[in-house]
Parts: sequence; C-alpha cells; structure tokens
Amino acid sequence: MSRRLLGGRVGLAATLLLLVPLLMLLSLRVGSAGLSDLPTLLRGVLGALGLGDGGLDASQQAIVELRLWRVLTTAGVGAALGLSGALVQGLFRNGLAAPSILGITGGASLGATLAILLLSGYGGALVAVQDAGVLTLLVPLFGFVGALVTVLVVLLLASPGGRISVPSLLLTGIAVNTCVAGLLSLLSSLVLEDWEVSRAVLAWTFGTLDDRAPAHAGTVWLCLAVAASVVPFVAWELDLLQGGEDDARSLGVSTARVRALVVGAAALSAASAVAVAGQIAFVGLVVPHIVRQFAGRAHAAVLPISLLAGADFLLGVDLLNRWLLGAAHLPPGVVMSLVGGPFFLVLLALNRREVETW
Amino acid sequence: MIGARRATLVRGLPVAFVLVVLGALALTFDGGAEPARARPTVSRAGFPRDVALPDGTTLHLDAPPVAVLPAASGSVDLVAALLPPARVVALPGPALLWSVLQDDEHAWPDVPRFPRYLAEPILALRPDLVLAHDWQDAQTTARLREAGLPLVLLTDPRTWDEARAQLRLAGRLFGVEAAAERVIDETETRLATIVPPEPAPRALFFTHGGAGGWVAGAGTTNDEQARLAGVRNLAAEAGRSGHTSITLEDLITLDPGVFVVPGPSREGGLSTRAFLLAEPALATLAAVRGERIVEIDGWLYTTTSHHIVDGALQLAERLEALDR
Amino acid sequence: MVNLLEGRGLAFEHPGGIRAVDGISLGVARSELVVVCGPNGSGKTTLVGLLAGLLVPLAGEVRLEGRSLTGLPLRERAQLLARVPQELRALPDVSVSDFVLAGRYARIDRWRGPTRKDADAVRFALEASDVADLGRRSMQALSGGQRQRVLLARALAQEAQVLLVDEPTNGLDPEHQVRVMELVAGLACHARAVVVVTHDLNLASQFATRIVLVDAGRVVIDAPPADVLRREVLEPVYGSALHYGAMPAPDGRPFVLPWLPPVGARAADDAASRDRPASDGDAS
Repeated sequence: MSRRLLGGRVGLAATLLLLVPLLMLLSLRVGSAGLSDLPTLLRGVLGALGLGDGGLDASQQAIVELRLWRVLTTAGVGAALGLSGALVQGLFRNGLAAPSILGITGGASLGATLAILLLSGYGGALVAVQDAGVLTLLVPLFGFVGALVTVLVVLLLASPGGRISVPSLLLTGIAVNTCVAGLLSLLSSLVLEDWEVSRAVLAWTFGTLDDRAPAHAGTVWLCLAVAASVVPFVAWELDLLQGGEDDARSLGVSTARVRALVVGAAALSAASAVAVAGQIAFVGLVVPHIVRQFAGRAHAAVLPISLLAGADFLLGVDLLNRWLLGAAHLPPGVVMSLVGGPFFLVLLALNRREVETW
Repeated sequence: MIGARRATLVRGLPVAFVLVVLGALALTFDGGAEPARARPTVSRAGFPRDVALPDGTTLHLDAPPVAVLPAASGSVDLVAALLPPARVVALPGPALLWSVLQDDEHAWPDVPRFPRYLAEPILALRPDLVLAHDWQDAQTTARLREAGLPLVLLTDPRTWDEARAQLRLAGRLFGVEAAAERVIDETETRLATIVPPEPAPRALFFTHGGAGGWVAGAGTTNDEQARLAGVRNLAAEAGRSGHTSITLEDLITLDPGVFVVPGPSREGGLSTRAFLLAEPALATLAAVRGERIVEIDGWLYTTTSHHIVDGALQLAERLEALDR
Repeated sequence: MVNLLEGRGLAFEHPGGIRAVDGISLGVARSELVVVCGPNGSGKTTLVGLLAGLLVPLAGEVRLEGRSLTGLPLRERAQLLARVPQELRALPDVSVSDFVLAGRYARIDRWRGPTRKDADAVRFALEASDVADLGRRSMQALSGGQRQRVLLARALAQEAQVLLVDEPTNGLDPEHQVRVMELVAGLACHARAVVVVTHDLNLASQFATRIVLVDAGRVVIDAPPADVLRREVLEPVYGSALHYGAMPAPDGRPFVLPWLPPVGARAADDAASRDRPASDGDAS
C-alpha cells in the first residue's frame, strides 16, 4: 500500500487539491475594496500575470494584484509549513516535532530583527541601497538567511563526525534555539527605548500576509518546489526509518542521505515561509497531525497531503479571518495560535488512548 | 466489495457537498462595493506643478488634490487645518483619537473612516494624494507606490520649526499656500502670548501606563514644548534623549519641581497622576506632596504637528493656574 | 567449502574503551546454520552488529561473498545479507504485507514501483513463514510469535543468501520457540547461510550445524553441538548451575537445564565457583 501512488489516498489528495483553487478564488473575491465581480477579477489576474491587458483601471488592477500576491503567498506559506512539519515529524518519529526544533523560526526572527535594526538606521552606512522596493525585501531576505544559517549551525554541531544522529539533532536544536532566543531578547531589549523599532520587531513576530509582493510569493513557491521534489526520494525511506536506524540500513536505506535530504527540504521550505510571512505557529505542528488521522502513516500519503492540507488550512483560516473581521483582521500568527491551540487540545482529548500508548 | 464501495460513496457525499457549496460561494460571492462620494471641483490655478519633497525628490501634480488621504494623526492635523472636509477622501479611524479631531466624536461625520494602514482599503478609496508617515509599514507604502498613487512620506516634526515647514509643504501640495501662511501666523500669535514663568520650573515629562515609567528627553516634542513654555526639561538636562524608561530610584534622584503628565485617556484606565499619588516610594517627593502635577490633554502631549505649540500653551496656562 | 559470510580478526570497542569483541574470526558456508551463544555481556550482539555492517570494526574485516562489507553500497549489501532484528524500535502502523514488502526495498525501482516479481516474492515469503493468512492484518495487532514470523518473512523477501537472526525466540512460549527455529533451520536447507544469535543452548543443540560459544569478546569454542554442550566446556563460561543430560536414543542430542542441586549438596559447588568472577551486566 505504501508504494501505491499517494499511498492509495488519491481521493483525499484530489479533494484537497481541488480545494486550493476554490479557496484561492473565494479569497480573491473577499476584500475591503468590495471588488468581487468575477470577470473583472479574472481579467485583472490575467493582466497581473502578463497574459494580455486586463483593461482594468489602474487602481482596480492594483487591488486585484494585491489580492493575487496575497493569496499565492498564503497558499505557498501554508503548503511549505505543512510539508516541513510532516518531514520533521517523520524524521524525528515524533508527532510533537515542529520545524522550529531545527532553529528555523528563531534564526529567521534574528535575521529579520537585524534587518529591521539596519533599516531603522542602527547600522549607519551599512544599508547602501536606498531604493524602497529593495529595502522592503531586506527583512524577508535577512529572515531567510538567518533561518538557513541557524539550521546549518545546528547541523554542524549535531554531527561532529559527519554523521547526524536524530537525538543529538534534537538536543542541539534546543540548545541553539536557546542561544538564538537570548540574542533576540538582547536585541529587543537594546531597542526597547525606540518604540517605533520595537513595534516593528514585535509586529514581525505576529506574522503578516498583508500587502505582499510578487517577490514574496515567488520566493516561497520556488523553495516549496525544490523542497517538494525530494518527496519521492524520502517518502518510503521515512516509513522504513520508523523501525529504527539500524533496521532501515539493513533493508538498504541510505539513512545518511535521507536525513540530509529531509533536513534540507524541511529547512528550506519553512525558512522561506517564515521569511515572507513572519512567524505563523502551529501549521507545521497541527496539519501533519490531522493528516495522519485521515491518511494513515505512509509518508507517500502524509507528505504530499500535508502540503495540500497546509495550503487549504492557511487559506481557509485567512479567508474566515478577513471575511469576519474585514480590514480589522488579526495577524495570521495570532489567529493560528488562537485557533491552533484549542484545536490541538481537542485532538489530543479525542485520541487520548493513542497518546498514552505512544 | 459492493459494500465497501457504498461506504466510500457515503463518506464522499459530505465532502462533495462542501466542495459544491464552496464552489457556488466562490462564484456568487458579492463583496458589495460602497458608492463613491462626489468629489468637489477646485480651481486649477497654479497647477500642474512640481512640489519639491524633503527627501530630495519632486512630486508632479496635474491638478489640486480633491481626495486627500491622511494616514496618521500628524497628517490628520494638516488636512484639518488646511482643507474643507469635502477634499478629504477618508480618515484613519483609530488615529483620530490623537489628532485635533479627537475632541468631537462627530467631527467631519461625512468623511469615511478606514481602520488600518493597508494597501487594499486605501486603493479602494481612490485617493489622489496619500500623506503617509515614515514609521508606517514599509510594505504597504511600497505597494501603494507600485500602484501609482501619489504618495508623500512625511517625517513627524519634533519642533515648531519643523512643523511650520511641514505646514508650508502641505500648503504647496494642496494648492492652499495662503491658508498655510494664515495658520502659521495664527499659531505664532498664540505662541507670543506665553509669558515664561520666573524662575523656570524644573519639569519632568513623565508617563506611566501601568507597566513602567517613561520620561521625554532631548529631541522630543515634549522637550520642544518645554522650551516654548519656558520650563526646564530635567530629563534632557540629565543627558537623556528620546523617550526612555526610568526607574523609581532615578525619579527620586531627579526630584523634579513639577511633573508634566498626559491627562486621563478617554478609555479610562490608570492615569499617570493617580500612579504618582499612589506610589509609596514617591511619597517623599516634594512635587508629589505638593501635588505639583500638571496634566496636558493626551492628544496635545503626543501631537506631532503645529499643535505642539498648543501643548506648550496649555502647559504654560496650567502651570500658572497651579501657582495661583 | 566457501564461506558466504566471513569475519576475520574482528575487534570492537564501545565508547569509553570497553572492548566488546576482541579478535573474533568466524565463517558461515552455504546450507550452514551457525548459532552464536554466550552469556549476557559476552559480545554476541556486538558481533551481529559487526557482521551486519551496522558497526565498523576497530580491526579486522567482514567479507560477504568474497567482497569487503565496508566497500559495499547499502542497497547491494541488502540484496546479499538480510538481518532479522530482535525487535523494532517502534512497530509501524501498516499491514503485514506492506511490512514484508519493505524487504524488497533494495530491489524495487523508485519510479516503476513494485513489479509482479516483488509481489510474488512477498507472497512466497508470507507462505514460507506461515503467516499468509495475516497479510491484511495490522502489524500492531500481532502476537509475539506472529510478529517474529513476520520479521522473518520480511528478511526472506529480501532474497538474500546470508541471513542474520538476532534472538528470534526471545519472549516466545516453548511451542513457538520450536516453530520459529524450525522455520529458520528450513531456510538453511535452501542453500542459504544462516547465523542465529540466541541464549538458548538447547534450541542450538537441536537445530545448529555449529555452535560458536562467545565469552568476554572471544570465541571459546566453534564446534558441532555435541562437542559444546559438555560440562568441561560450559562450566568455565556459565558456572556450575547447569544439569547436563541427553535425549533418549536414537536422537541422543545433549541438553542442559538451569539447575541448582538441593541446599545440602550445594556447599561444595559454591566453594568451587567462588573463584570465577561474576560476568558483568548486559552490555548490549
């Protein structure tokens, strides 16, 4: 069964896949500007993608493009977080593992905070570029680099002999996360007096999907594509790893290669998501958890379905958030924590028996 | 086998139902656009024109803007001083509390409010000039510029000189230079009525929101208000610049002659005055024992426009009342 | 006779310098069933780890069908050598036939997926291990004996010529112990080379071609069962609390029983065994 296409969960995957464009379409039609006329929207989308002149006036076209990049970023971020969570949980054989264990979230926060400080003039002449378009991409860029550098540090410290062991990865991750959190607190406390900068740093930790640009959507989708391309090379291998490292090696699995691919893909996708949208907790933790309830344990099913479900989940929550609250909608990181926490508790209560035997 | 297939079908039905409902919703949803307000006609005298901006760039305006959108309280003060409500396309709802329009909830009732500095709602209002501030979200500013909106990025003034320059800039942008000069003259006249107290009181601009105290040092609007009202700013003299947090121990060491604090906010909550009177550690301070605490209206305490002068005016008046 | 699996001068130290295997050489030829026996902490488990290529020896080398194990890619190694673990770290929540299919990992093309040949190999392995009727059952719903047979089936599906079986009878009742060992012995008859690690000297006596008795990281004796299950061989290793016997003719196979003589008869024995140092705990 685990070797069948999508582990035999083709119907579930197809449903979730169908939901993605559906939710995106709905999301395109919801906005404070009230622009919801379908033909106009579609013409605007075609215009935004460079497929002919949409014939909309400049402000309508701008609104359609804002919504398009937002929706694409949301879907990409959700998918990237879902996939990353499923990969990390598979590797650690632990349903409570999340991409943040590898230091991704902390590293991205550190990078983004540094960028905010530089932009606020703390670096002096370090920011030579003054083009506003480039400047606004500095925060995601620093976040991305910060996440990847932190993951690399975790990996290097966790593999002194060139071999990554999962328990030492876990412990090193916790230790490095603590160091990064310390640095982050240090930076935050240094700029505490500067309320505008403190406010920017704090706002970043809530995450945002508002006012995204093509560069945001492009970054997360590109990284997602690269990360998703490892799925065929690690899906069955992760199944075999559930019986232990030695057992998988006896069956012929190159465990070192699988580990490297899984960690690399998880880091890349989560880093891009956190870089373009800030901290959105719980998607990476909860989505794979729910997916396993419906799609079984085979990673050939869990990995791609977590990717799709992540996109659906974030799109859905963001849609509801903006539908119900309009322009006063909450940052996605806040909504996710508010929704994700209780959701997770209910899930745990329903599966108490499984948790106890685990 | 047939039973299993039926079970799959039964499980699939609700899924299909949800998909169909969502699909129908996606196709029929109506966002409901608000009807646009009629825009006034204004004399085009002096337009088109190029306005030099403080950042060195120039902004080209074909016609006098008739749908101006101020994005925060500082720019609300500018439009409130220079433009009729009909030429303002929308006001930032939450920021009004900190602007000259705060004291009347029904100020400019015909002008729509927008809740947050986000690109889509602002684009939907179709402003022909956006006054944004450099501390606002850079992503949103970038999206608005990309969409081709004429946008001026303002740096909040900290002194009356800077506020005066900004009034003149707004005058040129709106095509109402004469009105701007008139506002400047009126403000200067009000400023001239201040009689500096002798000797200059040793004042401390202090705020306490319930989670630690803050003082205003050099380079703040409060420091300018102190200068205009003829009082000493103890925090600046102690070498502090900007808004910095302060411990009770430092407060006692500074031993101010008078506390200048923001008045109670409209939402209620612990006022700084109440904190000063209730904190046992401060009971020995002369300014506390003598209740030498001057409250300034919240919006004047924080204003970043030419109303800095009115804050100074209120400070001088209330100081005088205290000594009387 | 050509050895399919051969260890030469193997040595291994655990972190902290504890030498678990100290110069062991051992060879297994086609159709042979070699049982590795030894007390707790004797180095049996480490030895299997070395033979399976899971541990890298400090000295010596393991050769598989004449090729050095260290230079062999994992996939090729898995086609030549299958290992039946004592137990899995966690039992996956999959069906028995999916679990057995994992034995085909090294032979299945990533893009084409399992072929008819793989399906046949799985079915054969399930039948040969007497678990064909459990194919659709979940791995987590199996009894201990069933689980052991399914683990064996998975190794069988690997179609490797060399089989390493670690403690196959642990935790099984006597009936199942014999059944599982019978199954393992049957594999050796099919021209495979089989190594079994077990505590159980009597099962070894019944099924082994040779017994390799290991103690303190060294081979004490490598000989047919009848030469190993003797007081002068076992007493230095296991102490005196064993009773030695033999099955009635015509079988005549030797056996041992854990046995302490009644208290009165014990004093002399105790005095004799006091010189022997107690074996350290289970270091595996």
